[in-house]
Amino acid sequence: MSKKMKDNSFQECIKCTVCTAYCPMAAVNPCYIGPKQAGPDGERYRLKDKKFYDYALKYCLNCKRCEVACPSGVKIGDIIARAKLASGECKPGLREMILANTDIMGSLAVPFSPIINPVLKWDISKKMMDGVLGIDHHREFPTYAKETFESWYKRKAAKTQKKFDKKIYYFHGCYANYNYPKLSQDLIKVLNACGYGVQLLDKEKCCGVALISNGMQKQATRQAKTNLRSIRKAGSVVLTTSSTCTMTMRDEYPHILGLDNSDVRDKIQMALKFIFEKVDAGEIKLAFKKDYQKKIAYHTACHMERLGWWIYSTQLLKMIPGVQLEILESSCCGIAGTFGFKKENYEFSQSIGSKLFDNIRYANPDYVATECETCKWQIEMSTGFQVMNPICILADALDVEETQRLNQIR
Amino acid sequence: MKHYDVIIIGGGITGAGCARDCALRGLKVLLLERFDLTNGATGRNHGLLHSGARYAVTDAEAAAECIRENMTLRKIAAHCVEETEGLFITLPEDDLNYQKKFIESCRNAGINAEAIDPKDAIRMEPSVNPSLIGAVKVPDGAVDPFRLTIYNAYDAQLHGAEVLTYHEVTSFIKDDSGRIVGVKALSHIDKKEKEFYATITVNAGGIWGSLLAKKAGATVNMFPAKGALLIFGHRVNNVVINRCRKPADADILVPGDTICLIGTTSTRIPIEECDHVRVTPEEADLLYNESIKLAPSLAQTRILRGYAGVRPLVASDDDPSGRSISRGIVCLDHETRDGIPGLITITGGKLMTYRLMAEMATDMVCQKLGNTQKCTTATTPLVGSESIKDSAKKADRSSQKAAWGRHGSNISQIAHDNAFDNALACECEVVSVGEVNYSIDKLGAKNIVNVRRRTRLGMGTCQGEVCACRAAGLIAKANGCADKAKEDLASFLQERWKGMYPVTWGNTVREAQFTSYIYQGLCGVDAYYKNNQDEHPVLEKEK
Amino acid sequence: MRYDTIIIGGGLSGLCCGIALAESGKKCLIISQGQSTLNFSSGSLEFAGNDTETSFETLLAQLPENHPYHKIGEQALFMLRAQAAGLFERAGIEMHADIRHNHWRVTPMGLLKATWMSMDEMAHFEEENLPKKVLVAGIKGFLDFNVDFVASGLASKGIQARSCEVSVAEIEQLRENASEFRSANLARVLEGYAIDRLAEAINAQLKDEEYILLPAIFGLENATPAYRILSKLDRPAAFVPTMSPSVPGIRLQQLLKKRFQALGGTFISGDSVISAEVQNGKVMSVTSERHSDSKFSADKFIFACGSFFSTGLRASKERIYEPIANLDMEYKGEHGDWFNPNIYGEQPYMSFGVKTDNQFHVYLKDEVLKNAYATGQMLAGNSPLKTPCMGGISAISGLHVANLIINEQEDERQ
Repeated sequence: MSKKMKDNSFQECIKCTVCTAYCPMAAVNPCYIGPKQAGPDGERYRLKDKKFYDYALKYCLNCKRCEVACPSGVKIGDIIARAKLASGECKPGLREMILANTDIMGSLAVPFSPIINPVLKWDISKKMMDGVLGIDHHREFPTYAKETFESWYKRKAAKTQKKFDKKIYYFHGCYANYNYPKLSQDLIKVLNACGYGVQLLDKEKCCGVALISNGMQKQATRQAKTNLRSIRKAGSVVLTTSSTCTMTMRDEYPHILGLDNSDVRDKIQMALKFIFEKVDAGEIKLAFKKDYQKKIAYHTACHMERLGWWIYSTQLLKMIPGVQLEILESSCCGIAGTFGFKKENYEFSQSIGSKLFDNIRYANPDYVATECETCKWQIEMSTGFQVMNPICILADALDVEETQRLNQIR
Repeated sequence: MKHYDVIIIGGGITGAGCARDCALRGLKVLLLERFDLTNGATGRNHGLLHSGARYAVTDAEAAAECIRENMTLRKIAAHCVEETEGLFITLPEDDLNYQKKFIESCRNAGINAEAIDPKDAIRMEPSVNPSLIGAVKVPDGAVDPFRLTIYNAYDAQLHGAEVLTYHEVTSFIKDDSGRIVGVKALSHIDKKEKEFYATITVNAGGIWGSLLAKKAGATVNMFPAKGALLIFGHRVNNVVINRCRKPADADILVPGDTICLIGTTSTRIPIEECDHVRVTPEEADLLYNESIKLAPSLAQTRILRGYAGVRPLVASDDDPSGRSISRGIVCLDHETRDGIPGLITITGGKLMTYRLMAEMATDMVCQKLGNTQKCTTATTPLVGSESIKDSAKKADRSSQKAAWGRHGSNISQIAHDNAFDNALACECEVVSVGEVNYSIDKLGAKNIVNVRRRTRLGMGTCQGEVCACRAAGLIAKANGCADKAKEDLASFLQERWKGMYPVTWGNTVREAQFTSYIYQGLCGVDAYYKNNQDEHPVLEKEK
Repeated sequence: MRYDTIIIGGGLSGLCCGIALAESGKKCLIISQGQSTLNFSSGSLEFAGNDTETSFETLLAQLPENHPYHKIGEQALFMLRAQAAGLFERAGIEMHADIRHNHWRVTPMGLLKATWMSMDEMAHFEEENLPKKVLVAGIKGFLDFNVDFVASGLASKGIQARSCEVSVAEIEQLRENASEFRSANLARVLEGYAIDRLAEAINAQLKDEEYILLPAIFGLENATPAYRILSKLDRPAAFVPTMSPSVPGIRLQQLLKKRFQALGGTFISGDSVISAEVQNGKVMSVTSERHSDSKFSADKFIFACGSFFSTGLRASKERIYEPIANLDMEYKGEHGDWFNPNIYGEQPYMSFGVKTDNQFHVYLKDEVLKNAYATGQMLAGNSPLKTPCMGGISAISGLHVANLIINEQEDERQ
């Protein structure tokens, strides 16, 4: 890591232990020493003995709730993530390769999705994955789409998007590409109605979050560099729909991988923030269907909490007249990306999320809204409630023609 | 009444070393210390395992002594020593010509000094000032003076010596012939004066040795030289960094356990002030500014505290005016020198040469007692340093790993088989409840300051905010005296503050305010504070 | 993004101010930089004074003349004390307080400390109803609550106290990682039947004691676990605060935050305001670290950023300053004058703070900022441990500034 990127924030820690009081993992796992000890305390000790507390680092969810709670500005989650990579404690095996390489798996699976999707749902395959790979059998792999968003875009949308006067770049991420192209399509629908044509980046790689958390630093760095190159080339705002991709590219690239992204960091924005700010500034207008009536419970995903950008999403949802919005108490769902897929973590994962699941059942909404795809899988599996990205809700509720008229699109 | 072969006065490294040497040679030993072990200069220095290079140019003899003892300590006190290596760097404002003379002098003294490319120096120690123009590698290291002293004393005890801390010698007992046959000592525990008898008494009182000698009717001219140091919150360097120039203020940066420290200054002070030395703002400024020249990142590093000690420099014996000051070892036979039989003074010297000093003093004691045993301290490992590598393998928990770094193979004596003992008392320095109890039961800790010196509890980032109350509770439990433990708690926090307030800015203000909110606001421990400053309450189980 | 009022700081002062404004229909934003000092609170708020007899009016007269209370005035302070109690009640927090004088709380050292307001389940006594015989029941191996310290402290006040330590299976499980055996961790497992069994274990220890004191390790999110154990014990009982973190304090923080959000307030956690834009004697907007490319603008701004601990104030070797807007400060001397060598003596730095006018408006380069206020621990002249007014000054000044804003706008409307 270059000197410039060196993070000495561990010495800001004044040992108040508030982080541990708010850590979802420490709450359910007595083996986890908690963020203070694994983070700033450990970091200080690791200057003397590199191996200190290395056994405990694997329990960190990288939810960053410790950083949100810290009154001293210590980048606790970053410290732990870096130590985890440095310790080599999480040497990736076959399972980690499969879970972490979301884009390789996706591009292999999509062409065969009609076969793979049902196979992944078979009990026998779940049992095999459980026994052989250590992927918990309770888990359901997200279904793969029939066609990736990228190929749909090239085939169906690229031409029409070029026709717009105003253009904006979009980083779709793996989930919206391989599993749920509708999210990307919904974003295009909303932005088009507001007068923006959507462009894809020159070259997009998986943001690398799963690679980082599974100890594959080199590959993550390679992919990060590709993405940063593409974003630099785009030279303007690049929108995203996934909170985790956003946080990874904005904050983990410099803090964990040591890549300087200061020239483009502010350009990486969530679409919801972009839309809200344009509406707030009166630059675009939205009109909604009169008959759209839904009760929505908004779940603040951990990385949304860290970004602090949930305020934009919730303000946008509040603009939809038919939406009855309840903002759930912000708490971790327990999946933490690939963490919850691992057999040994299943129990922890579920007990961390139990409070959130109870709150959702109590709220009894039509949909749960959240920007994080892994939260979506976890909540849907654990509660049965349908989870939507706020962009999809916006798209559903949008009166496209009226919006076009308001924004003077023919 | 019990009679000893030898009474040693002073629980610094010299006294503890003497006690061990005497005990290993089969003598009946009593060590008396007025406060706690390491309370004086022993506990207030760099903790530098000198290679001797620093003295090579000015004092070849001292340099040669240093390197010999350096190599010995690596073997016999492995658990107190960290083999870090050292660098002598030349900065642009220094004269690079000095380097040649320096290397030559080192070689003459038997110190393996090797000039290296500045780029290699940066590779070896990335925190070093990158503008350096020259670098010499020397076999410096770090030594923990607390551990070294406490384990010398503990080792002596295991060989039959008695160690009484908080016993202040008030006068010497002479027989009719004028021979010193014992001492009177005031116990700070029960406030009673007691008498102890021995054939020989060794004055190892460091800077206070001159006051002791006076009580016996002898004159030892000491020249108290105050040295101030600053401690930074974490290790910035892993290699000792020195300036390659004529020894001056604040030109050594030593990594010590989890921290690093810069020192020292040197100021002559009156002997009456030795008990109350403080770091002045001017000294703090000087140390801070000079430290940044050695390692620029220290400018962004939190300063934990400042402290000061007094070097026991001695005027050479044939020059009572004191103009020629030596850092060499002085061993005085008061029988031949002053006509006071039964008393020996061992003083001068350095932390590095304590073993040699002890050997010299013990040789003299043995000669007087007719004991012919040879000194074995150069080859017999200290308790804790035997089979040290094997014991490391047994340390699987982090708290045990940390404890192993402090106590070596003695960790086998630290209880860790149940959750209560494994609980952490001090989280910054990773000190378990078991380790605190071990320091009370085996190493003679009688208050929180004592526990701190034996375990590093309270020496970390929070300076006792989290752990002080826990330690007080454990001491209270061990001794069954809650009220006194609370007085001790109040006194301990004041002791920590004393070192903090001269350097309190940035995050240290936050920490200080937090500590005050908790202990004064939430708890009200100020109600237990007795204005007795340097002396801390002593807790001991009633016998 | 535009609000009526933006409050920088989500501690007691910011929350009290925000709730009062939101209750009167204002659109408020609180930007909070991590958790506040409430997380270490005793569960009681001090107003002033060290005894339970002297009336608050008399105590006020004895305070140094630069104490911020004097800017509020005796009558308004009386009303504010009442208002504070109502605010907590509406947030679902039961408080015990007498509007005229202090009561006693019990410290982790077993001492009695005079205090104005205590969370209802925390041990609080009037002089005349102090219990005579007490059982102090703690958790085995829990180092942050020393039963012997509590018992010996009470004994020094003439209360006969005996100590005991108990445990239950749920706690034993937690010990697998004993390195973080702290109050908040205990509170997480002490729910439901675990509480009942703990109560049984304590009841079994009872002899002729008339009262039980317990560590405050029950109920992080709501007070249900706390009241559950009280109801299962065979004697009247109450809680004594532990060393940090404070379980009742965390709950207080959470409940106030929830109340603020329920009133429509927006609460951003874990973000710090890094700059303020000032034009023509008014703060126009602030920018935060997490929203560095946006601005938050409002009619009124409140600095409730706390003291040094919360980084509302900062000290370098050379100066003491307010880091967001570099507001004018009131402090004396140079580094050497800021600290008392006696840790328990009057510490000058504790009462350093931002300069305000009589309406708590802040100053920038000697010019008053007409729409910006300071409240709580960052106010100059406030000496939280000596007055002592820890908590009190935060709640009262927060409420007072809210009232000033509401009244001013009502005046404008008329």
